[in-house]
Amino acid sequence: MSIMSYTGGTVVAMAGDECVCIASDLRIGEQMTTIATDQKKVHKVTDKVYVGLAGFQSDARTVLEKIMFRKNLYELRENRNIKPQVLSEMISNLAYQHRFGSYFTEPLVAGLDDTNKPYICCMDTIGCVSAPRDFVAVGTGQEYLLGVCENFWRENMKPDELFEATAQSILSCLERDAASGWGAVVYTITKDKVNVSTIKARMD
Amino acid sequence: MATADVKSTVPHMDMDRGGAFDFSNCIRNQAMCKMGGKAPKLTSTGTTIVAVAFKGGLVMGADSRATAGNIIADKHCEKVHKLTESIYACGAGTAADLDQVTKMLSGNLRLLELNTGRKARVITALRQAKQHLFNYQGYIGAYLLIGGVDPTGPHLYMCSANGTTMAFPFTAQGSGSYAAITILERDFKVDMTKDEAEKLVQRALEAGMHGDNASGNSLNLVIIEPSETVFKGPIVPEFCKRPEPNDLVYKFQAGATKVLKHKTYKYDVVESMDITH
Amino acid sequence: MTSFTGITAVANATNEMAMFKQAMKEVAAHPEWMSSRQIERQRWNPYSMEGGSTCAISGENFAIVASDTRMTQNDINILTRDAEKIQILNDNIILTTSGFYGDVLQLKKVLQSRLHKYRFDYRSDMSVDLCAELLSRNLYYRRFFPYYTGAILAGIDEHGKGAVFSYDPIGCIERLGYSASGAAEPMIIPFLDCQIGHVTLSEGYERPELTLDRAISLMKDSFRGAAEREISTGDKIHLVIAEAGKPVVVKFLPLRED
Repeated sequence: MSIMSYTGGTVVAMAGDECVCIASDLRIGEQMTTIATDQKKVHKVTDKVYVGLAGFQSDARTVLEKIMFRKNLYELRENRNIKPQVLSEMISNLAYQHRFGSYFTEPLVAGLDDTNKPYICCMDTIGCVSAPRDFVAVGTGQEYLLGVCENFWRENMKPDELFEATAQSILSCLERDAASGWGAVVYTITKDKVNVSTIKARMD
Repeated sequence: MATADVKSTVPHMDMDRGGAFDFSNCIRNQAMCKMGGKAPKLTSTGTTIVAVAFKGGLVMGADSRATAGNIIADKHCEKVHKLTESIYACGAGTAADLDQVTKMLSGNLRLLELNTGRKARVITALRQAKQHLFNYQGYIGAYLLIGGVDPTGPHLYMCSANGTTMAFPFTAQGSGSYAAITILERDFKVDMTKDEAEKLVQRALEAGMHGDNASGNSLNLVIIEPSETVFKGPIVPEFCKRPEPNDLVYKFQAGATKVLKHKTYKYDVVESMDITH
Repeated sequence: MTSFTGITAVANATNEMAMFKQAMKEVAAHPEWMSSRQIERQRWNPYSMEGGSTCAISGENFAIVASDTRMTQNDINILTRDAEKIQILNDNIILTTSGFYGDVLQLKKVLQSRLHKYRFDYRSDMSVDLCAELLSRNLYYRRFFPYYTGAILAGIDEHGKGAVFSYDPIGCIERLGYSASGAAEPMIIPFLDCQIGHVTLSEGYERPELTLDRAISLMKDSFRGAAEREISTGDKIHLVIAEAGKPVVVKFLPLRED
């Protein structure tokens, strides 16, 4: 069994018109056994920038701490909020520093930059950034999500449409991914607020 | 406890290692593999990259697909990397390695140019790349085509992950290189015009993208001449377009998903002036 | 392969930790990079995977089957752009298989000859339910050297209803409303779960009925989506439509070729 699917977990992000959605499941397992059912894999970095960490959750925690450390240092030094583009570059460099002996976590960044342009990107474990304009997915349910999102994503979705599309995508994924589940949480980031919705999903 | 003891027991925090690799997880990861875990899939650019020299210049090109296993991780990734104004590199292999190696090269070459006040030479870029890659004995999986024009003329080199380098008048690399090289071998002529070379590279790339699963989506070209460098892309060939649009529109009305809990966080909107650009 | 995994073993955590520590020690003493690099010897493998994906949807009075027509070597090389993975066994039975193409062909031949013999013996075509059972037994017969295929059998049953039977390589059989197998199975199945199974929608939300036209559209769209993201799926959709009381219709539709 791959280390990447040891704890399970999936994160997906979609970009819309001046808004982004980022969603994750809530399960943590130890291979087949479920350990916890309230573990968000999406973390707030700044008001408008969120990071999702899928993969081996022990490493995800470590990496999150390192990310927050570097982000705080950046904000103190530069005295401004970090942009998602900058954050992703930072995480990429952090991940690549561990090119040999990597952290088993795939980071995903979603957020709005200071002109409220949506930015989403995902990385592999050693920090190869791919930043498409439509959607990204990481974790055990990546394949499931990419297939669904390919059909559900449309240009310039408004926040409520985007929420429905993201929510339905992750729900469809949870239907088939055994390593993720136990509910899902969706963050809709718009220019003046963040909506956090816990949605009804399979509880297994 | 003596200070030295504290130092040895408390793991020291590195703020910044100056960009060097951190090997602290290596032993742990190997132990995990030994316990039966498998290493994760890395994004690789199972790629078609092509470069052809013509009279006085060079055309380089790449497709734009990055794969992780049998899924497409990125449809429009940039594989033609700018090193300097007139030196470019195309990469195949592990995607993260390529990004970082070319980033390092472009930084070093720019510094060199500023320090010497002259334009960097292609051979310099090549030497830097090969020394870095040889240092790591092929563990950095970057297979590069480095090419450009400098005062000594147009040059094209291939540099493999273990540091082997070769010079070519034309070459292709990556998983689609077999298809691409057939086109090049058939149609390459010495001292072609710029137009001929550009067409040839595009045809070779299209052959690679067509015949190889791991290449496709779109292609990028760069035409380097002593006077100017032109970047073209992304060009989407006819067979890479969706032949038919979707039949249905999958639009969900509000209420399609049952929301159990809902919370809204409003934040203070600070009207910001965009001073970055 | 389909399997039922209950709680196999709740591993003793402390024991596992001790084992991990031991592994750490061993690796630290003899790191991989200190030994000469190991060449993994390629053992002979009787199987290969030629990629591609197939899918089937059944409805009230119809069953549709589709597959792509690409055949791939080593996930990279395209061997042919018109490999047929769907076999129309008779007017009511359609077999579609993905996986090792040698076994795909062999399985087709075995079933064809069995159906031929049935027709010779009983002077009527076999029904899809019988064929489903027959296929299951043929697959399980090779339990320890299986046909390396994910088979789907679709057709119109004796009551005029659409039927889809899904198999794992060793003959575990299940009758489903829709099924997919092959490289793009993980991409197609959740989409159909959402659009046909409607499992993700909240109660009271509009659920469109599954008509033949809608099923065909969904089938096409799921392949179009899969071809965008899966490298060994592409070239053409081979679509076979079986409707109760009507002859089987075969169509080819374009997909992306890169």
